[in-house]
Order: sequence, then structure tokens, then C-alpha cells
Amino acid sequence: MILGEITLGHYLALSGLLFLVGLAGVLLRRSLLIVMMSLELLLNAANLALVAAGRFKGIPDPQVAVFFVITVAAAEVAVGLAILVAIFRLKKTTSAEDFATLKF
Amino acid sequence: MIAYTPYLILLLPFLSAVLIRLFLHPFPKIAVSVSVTACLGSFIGSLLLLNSGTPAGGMAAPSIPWVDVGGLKAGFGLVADPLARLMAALVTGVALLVHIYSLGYMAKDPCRSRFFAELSLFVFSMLGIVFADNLITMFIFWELVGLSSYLLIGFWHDRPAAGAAANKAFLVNRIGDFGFILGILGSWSLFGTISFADLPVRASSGAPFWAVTAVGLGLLCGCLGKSAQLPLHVWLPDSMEGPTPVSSLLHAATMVVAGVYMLIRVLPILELSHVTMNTIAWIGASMTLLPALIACQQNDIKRILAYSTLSEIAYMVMAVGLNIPGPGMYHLVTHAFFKCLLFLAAGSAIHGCHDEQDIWKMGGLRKRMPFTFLVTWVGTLALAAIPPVSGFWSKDAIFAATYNHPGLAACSMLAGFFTSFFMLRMILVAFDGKPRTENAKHAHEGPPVMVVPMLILAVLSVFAGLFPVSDFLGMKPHGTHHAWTLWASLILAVAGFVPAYFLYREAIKDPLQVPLLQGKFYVDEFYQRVLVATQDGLGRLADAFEGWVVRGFLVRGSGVVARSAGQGLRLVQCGQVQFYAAVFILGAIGVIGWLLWKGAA
Repeated sequence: MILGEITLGHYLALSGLLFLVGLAGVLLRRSLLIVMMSLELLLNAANLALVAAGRFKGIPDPQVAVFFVITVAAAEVAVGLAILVAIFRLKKTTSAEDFATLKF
Repeated sequence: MIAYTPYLILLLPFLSAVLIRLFLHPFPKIAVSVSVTACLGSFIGSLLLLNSGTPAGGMAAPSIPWVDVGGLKAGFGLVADPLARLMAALVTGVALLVHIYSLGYMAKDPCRSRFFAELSLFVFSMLGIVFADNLITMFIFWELVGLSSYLLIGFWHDRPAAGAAANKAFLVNRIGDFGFILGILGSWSLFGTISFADLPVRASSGAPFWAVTAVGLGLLCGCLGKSAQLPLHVWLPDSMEGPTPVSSLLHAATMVVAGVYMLIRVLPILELSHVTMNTIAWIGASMTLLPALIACQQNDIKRILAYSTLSEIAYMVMAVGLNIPGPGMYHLVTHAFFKCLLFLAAGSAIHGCHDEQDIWKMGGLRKRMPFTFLVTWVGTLALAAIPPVSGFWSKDAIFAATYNHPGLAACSMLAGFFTSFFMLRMILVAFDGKPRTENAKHAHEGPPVMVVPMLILAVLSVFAGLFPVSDFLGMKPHGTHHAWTLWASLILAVAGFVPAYFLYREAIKDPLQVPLLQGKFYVDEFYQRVLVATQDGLGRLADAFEGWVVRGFLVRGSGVVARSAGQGLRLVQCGQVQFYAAVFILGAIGVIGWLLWKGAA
């Protein structure tokens, strides 16, 4: 076993990595569709950390919280995509840079 | 049964007023007789009560629990002590005569249903004051008297002067009432009671001197308004715009004496402070003299009598200030009769001359209205305190108490001089000589319903002095008699007739012209100027405050701040949602970092 046993640290490291990938997507990508996908990544990174922590500490509460996160995420996606479709119909673009109308 | 008599006396006029207003308005004949019958019923009840001979303060009608807030308890109870019984008999008796007189005086008025309804309401309110067993109940009826006097003074509401006079009476009374209610609240907080029965006991407990003085002056303020004393006397002469029977009722036994009656009721509080008592005595003394002076130069027969009322009420107020309520009430009773008589006689002269009130447009009424002339003389002798008519005895009782107050004595006795002067002037000008106008030539006596009340009042004016008021009330009579007060007042009173006789015997127009007195010492003008100036100044100040501080600074200022803050802050915005997200995340990292660093440290 080169890597040895998988510990809570591994899970958290993976979760952090996922979170960083998602963050980069949210901040750097211009397409709103990708930004939304990256948002999901952020949520799932958090979910992973929660589940792993709950498993290793032997308490069920975080795992219950994850179900809520998943539910809310589903709702968020439904609403977010609907808004996205509406925006696209209006502007014929999904680039975040073109939506600066709130300024001034 | 007799315990409920006060309720009966009180509610009969009220019932009449309600009945007339609701149902009998279109039938003047029925309305009028209902009103007179109610008043007659009250009068009979009052006589029964007067003669019931129950011990002093020993009988009170059952009290109905009413106000009970915090520590303030007030029942709706009626008190029937000798003071209330005497006043009730006086009020209903005079009111009855005025009702009967009005039958003739108002016979041709199309609105006489309304007149009699308001008259009934007036009697009801006044009886409420008389029977009230605590200050709150008294205050309610006090206000009702204010309302009904407003209605009656403004009875001829199509005359602008009547409307203005009614407003004036109401507003000036409001000022007095404000002081009165402060006095009531003060009495409650100082002595913990507003009941007249408890006042003598509770009032002696050691409250601070300034506080009892303030309470006393507050209560006095109510009296000044209702009894039309300085400086709130301006409404009374104007109230002459009402029908003459109203003036008669207002001046004789109801509204204006309510103030004196109230002062006597709260005397236990007033007594605690010599400042209050001196103020009352001096206001009284000065108000005996000033109106008597003004009356010497008035030409309206009713105004002359109105000013004489101010002067006479002031004698009673002075008596209260000298702590001799017995003689004060004594004068109140005799005054009620002879002043009512004088007003009814004046009304008769006015009626006879077809609503002419200016004495210089009368003249020669002696031959055409001999009876009115005669009763006017009776009233004049009583008013001028010439023995053996009633006014002499009651005024003498008050004079006797001034023997060691030279200032008060001088003022009030000098007032007697001028009283004789202006009364003889009025008689000579109005009744003597030749008729000066067509109306005066065709003057005639009124119908029997007007003559009979005058006759009864004339008899009462002569003999009312025999009624032992102080003994009946169980109050201490005046102190030792000093002969000089008697002689000084009598000589001055008789002396007043002499100049009047020589000046006005043959006069066609007034030989004396004193602008200061014709202008009533310019009190009205003074109020007009001062009040208008103050009110305008306050108005401008309020307008400036509203314009600059409220509208300018607070309303517009907050708007400007919010808008300019927004204008400034919007320049920071770039509109890029990802930039905001980056800032948010950096912020979150910053917070987490700070928390970790704090946890480590």
C-alpha cells in the first residue's frame, strides 16, 4: 500500500480541490452556463466534506444536512436555469460581461 | 322617597329638553307647556326638599359608581346639603318665573320650541352643578352650562353679533375651564379626593404651601371664567345679544353665580393658602368698582345691567375671599331676585318699545309703562342697597367684614356710589322726560304672563332679606358689626343719586363723555391687540419652524442625504457579477482567516 489507508485528510483534500476548481470556474469563466455548473461543483465539494466528516466522527447530523443541501441545490438549478433561458432570449448571449446593466 | 327627590328635580328639565328636541319640535304650544311644566315640577320638588329639614349634610341621594381609574374614584352622586337645597330652590324658582315671562316675551318667535328646549337644558345643567357631590361631576355639568349658554346667547343665530357673542362666551369660558380642570387634578393628587364631603377632612393634611396655592388659583380660574371676573369678564356684556329672558336667567340665578357656588364648595382648599384668599378678595374688590364705572357711560339698557351684574358678583367673590361664605350666599340669593327683576323689567321696556335697547331712544316710559317703572325702582333700590330693601341687608353683611381691610372697603363702597349713579341715570333717561322716538311713544305694558313674574320678583326683592341664609346653611354669620361700615356705605350709596339727578333730569343727550369708560377701559381692544399680535407671532414662528426645520431640514434633508449617498456610492459599482463574487469570496476568506488567527492567539 503506497498510499496507505484513506483518512479524513484525504477526503478533505479532495473536497478542497473540488472547491478550488469550482471557484475558478465561477470567477474566471465567462459563460453563465459554466458558471452555474461550477456553482454545483462548489456545493458538492462542501457536501463531500460534510459527509466525510460525519462518517469519520461517527455522527449522523452532517449527513442529514447534506440532503437539505442537495434539495436546495436542485431548486437553485431549476430557478437559475430558468433565469438563464430568459436572459438568453432577451440578449442572445450568455456571457457574464454583457450583463453589467445594474451599474448606474 | 325623599332621597330620590334631587334626581327628580335634576332629570325633569332634562326630560323636557330631550322630549322637545326629539318629538315636540314642530308643536310649539305643546313644547312650551312641557318645558314650563317640567320647571314647575322641579320647583315644587326643590321646595319640598328645602322644607324637608334633614340635618346639615346628613342626606345625600344614593351615588352611582361611575369613574374608577387607578386611584381616581368618582361616583355620580347628588348631594342635598342645605347649600345645595337653597341653590336648587333659587335656581328652579327664578327659572320658573323666567319660563313664564318667556311665554309672553317669545310669543311671536317662530323658533320658540328650540328656545324652551335650550332653556330646559340650561336649567338641567345648572341643577347638575348645584347637586354635584364631587368635582368631576361638577365639571361635566359646568361644561354643559357652557354649552347651553352658548346655544342660548347665540339663539338668534341669523344675527352675526349673536354668533360672535356666543363664540366669545364659549371661548373665554374655555380658558377658565382649563384652569379649573388643572385645579381638580391638583386637588386629586394633593388630597387624594375630589369629593366635596371628604375635602374638609383631607384638605387639612400638610401639603406644601405652593401646591395648595396653585390648586386654589386653578379652581379660582374656573370661577373667573364662569362668573365673568377680571380678567375673563369680557364675555358677559356681549352675551346681551341673547334674548332678554336668557340674560335674566344667566345673570340672576344660574351661570354667573355658578362660579361663586363652586368657590364656596371648595372653600376648604382655598382656605389653606392666604395668597389664594387675598387674590380672590382683591379680584372681587376691583371688580366691584371697574364695571360700576363702565356702566356709568353705557347706553344699552341691558349692558348697563350686565355691568352691574359683574359688580354684584364681585361682592360675592370678595365675600368668599374674606372667608365669609354665609353673607356671600346671602347676597347671591337677594341678588338673584332683584337682578332677575331688573332684567325682566328691562326686557319689558325693550319689548314695549319694539326691541329698542338704547336708553336715549326711550324716554317718557313712566306714564306708558307705570308698572315696569315701579318695579325698576324696586330693583334699583335693592341694587343700590338702600334700606329696607333686601339688597341693603346682604350687602351690609359683606361690608361689615371689610372693617379691617380699608382697601377692599374703599373699592367696594365706592362701587356702591357709582351703582346708585348709573341706576338713577338709567331710570331718568329711559323712563323720565318725553319720548324721544316713535317707538317710545307707542310703548305699552306686556301681557299678564310678563307682568306677574315681575310682580312676584318685586315682592321677593323687597322681602328676601328676611330669609336667614347664614343660619340655614349652618355657616358662621359675619363678625361683629362696626357702625362705620354701615354708615359709610349707606352715605355713599345715597350720595350717588345726587349727581345723577342733576345731570340727567332734563338730559336729551349724555352730558358726560368719558371715552375711557365708553371704551370699557379698552380691555377688549387690549386683548384684540395682544392676542392678535401674539397669535400672529406664534403663527409665523410655527410656520418658520415647519418650513425650515420640519420640511427643510428633516424631510428634504433626509432625502438629500440618501440621494447624494447613493450618487456617490454608485460610482464604486462595476456591474460585473463575477467581480462581486470575487470580492465576496475574498471577504469570506478574510473573515475565516481572522477567526482562525484569533482562535490561535
